[in-house]
Amino acid sequence: MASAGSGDEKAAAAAMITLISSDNEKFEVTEATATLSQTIRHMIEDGCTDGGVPLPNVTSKILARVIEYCKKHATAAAGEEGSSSSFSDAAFLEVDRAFLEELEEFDDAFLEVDRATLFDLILAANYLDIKGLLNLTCQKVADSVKGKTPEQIREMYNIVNDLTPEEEAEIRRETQWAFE
Amino acid sequence: MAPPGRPPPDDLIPDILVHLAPDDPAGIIRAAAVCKSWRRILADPAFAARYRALHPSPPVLGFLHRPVGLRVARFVPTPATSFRPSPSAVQRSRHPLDCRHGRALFYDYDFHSTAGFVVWDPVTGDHHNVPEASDPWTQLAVLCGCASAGCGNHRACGGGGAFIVAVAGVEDTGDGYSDFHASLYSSDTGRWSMDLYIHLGHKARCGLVEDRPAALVGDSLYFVTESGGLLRYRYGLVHRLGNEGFLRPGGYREADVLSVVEPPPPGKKRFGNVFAMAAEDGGIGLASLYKNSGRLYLWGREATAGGRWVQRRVIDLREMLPVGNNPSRRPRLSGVAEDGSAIFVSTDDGVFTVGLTGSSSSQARKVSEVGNVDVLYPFMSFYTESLLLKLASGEIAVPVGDH
Repeated sequence: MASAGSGDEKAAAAAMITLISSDNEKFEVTEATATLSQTIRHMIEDGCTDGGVPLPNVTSKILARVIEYCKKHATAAAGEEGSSSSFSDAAFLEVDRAFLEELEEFDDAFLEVDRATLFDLILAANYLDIKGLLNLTCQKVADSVKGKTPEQIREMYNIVNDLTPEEEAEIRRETQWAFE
Repeated sequence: MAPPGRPPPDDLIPDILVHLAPDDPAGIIRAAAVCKSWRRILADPAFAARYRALHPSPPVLGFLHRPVGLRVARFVPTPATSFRPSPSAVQRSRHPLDCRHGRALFYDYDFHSTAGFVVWDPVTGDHHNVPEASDPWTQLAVLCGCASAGCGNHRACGGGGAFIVAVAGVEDTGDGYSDFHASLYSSDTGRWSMDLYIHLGHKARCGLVEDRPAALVGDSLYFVTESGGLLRYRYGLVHRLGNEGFLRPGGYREADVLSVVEPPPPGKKRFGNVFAMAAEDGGIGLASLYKNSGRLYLWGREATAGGRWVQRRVIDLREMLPVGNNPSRRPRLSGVAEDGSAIFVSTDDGVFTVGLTGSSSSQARKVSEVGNVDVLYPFMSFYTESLLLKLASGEIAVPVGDH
């Protein structure tokens, strides 16, 4: 292994996996990056990753973004394992905080995408079972409806109002405070 | 490439809605009024369970405080919340004393009323009068009446069920001696329990600090004394034995119910601005902000018999708050979250919360522009989750779906 580290962990982390997008583009990633996806982790455990992992539900454009996310978060996870768990140690706390801040900044920048891409990322995160990414992207959508009226939410997301006027009136009568 | 303006993926709408903020009750209701499918998702009992799993602790929806020099209680909602308290009760001439388990406790200055204390539910506006205690009291606490019956974290009971009001006080008996008294009122019986007391040592500096909320840990309330120590009241034992508080049948003595917890050993600096709080390990803890240093010290008490105080953490607030070097901008400790998950710090610039646990640990957030708040009582509530339960039970109407 060409890795600078000598420990088994580092050797394992440097094992490469090939991911193949729906449009047949190949992406070489480390196992540590790929296994943020539970779906891929199970495939690796089952030994069915030789010749690459086909991901027919994910386009190359989205897969590139997903890999970008996994790379960053795999590094952060490795960094956290390396640091002390003793919370009384101010020096380590400082390192952890810097890590977290950097990660937060990355996530914020990562979410600066158009709505269609955001939905595609949600679908990919769900299919690949990447909990962190699914939470992050779903949170972004949930945040986007905050403070909006039902009409504004429908308009934003092209949702058809199938409530009858009577039903709407009933909802509003019972919970008027929420619409003020 | 997906077409623009498409709705979110159908299968994943529950994943999205479960992220609606727990401090935004109106957000749940508005989402439920978007369309039938959203409403069905939100009214599914399984969704409420999922929501609970993702948001295990109640958010802070606001805080109560008494503006300096005024005899009124103010409710200040946190900036992000859509929660607004039921308008009754807040502005009247009331002195906030405690807020816990979805209820607030006031002393009522309105002498025309017969009540001494008022227990208020900020969500419904319900209030209950509690007759004034006959015993000497300095500090009070309000809590869920089912607390000692294993109600857990009081998700279901809300502010509507049985409650307990506990009082504690230290009475000077002359010659430098004093007694520690405590009793409790139960809404189930509508009466105060028998007053219990123990003698404190000579010149014990055990007087209770006024306007300093008690901490609830297990079956005990801990009240802060002038020396930075605690007086422990095992109200749970008294409540279990019955409202009369007779100890003999159970073979208990006063000392089993009332006890003194010495302060941590004195350091170089004066131990001041002390709040009792639930510690991270589930035991009793102390938070103290040393004057002039801007450093918050967190102490925890070892759970073993004869346990000692252990300094668990030091947080330099000057690094996270806009306090600068201006002495008048020194932060002061103004409150703690009832579950010990955060502290509240007041400066000239406003009120800040500093997380102590989980992902918000050591992160400061401004929660109010109101400056120089002396003591505040955070209101934490599962109100948003309770709305999901109401949708699930049909208490809030759900249109009959097409499929």
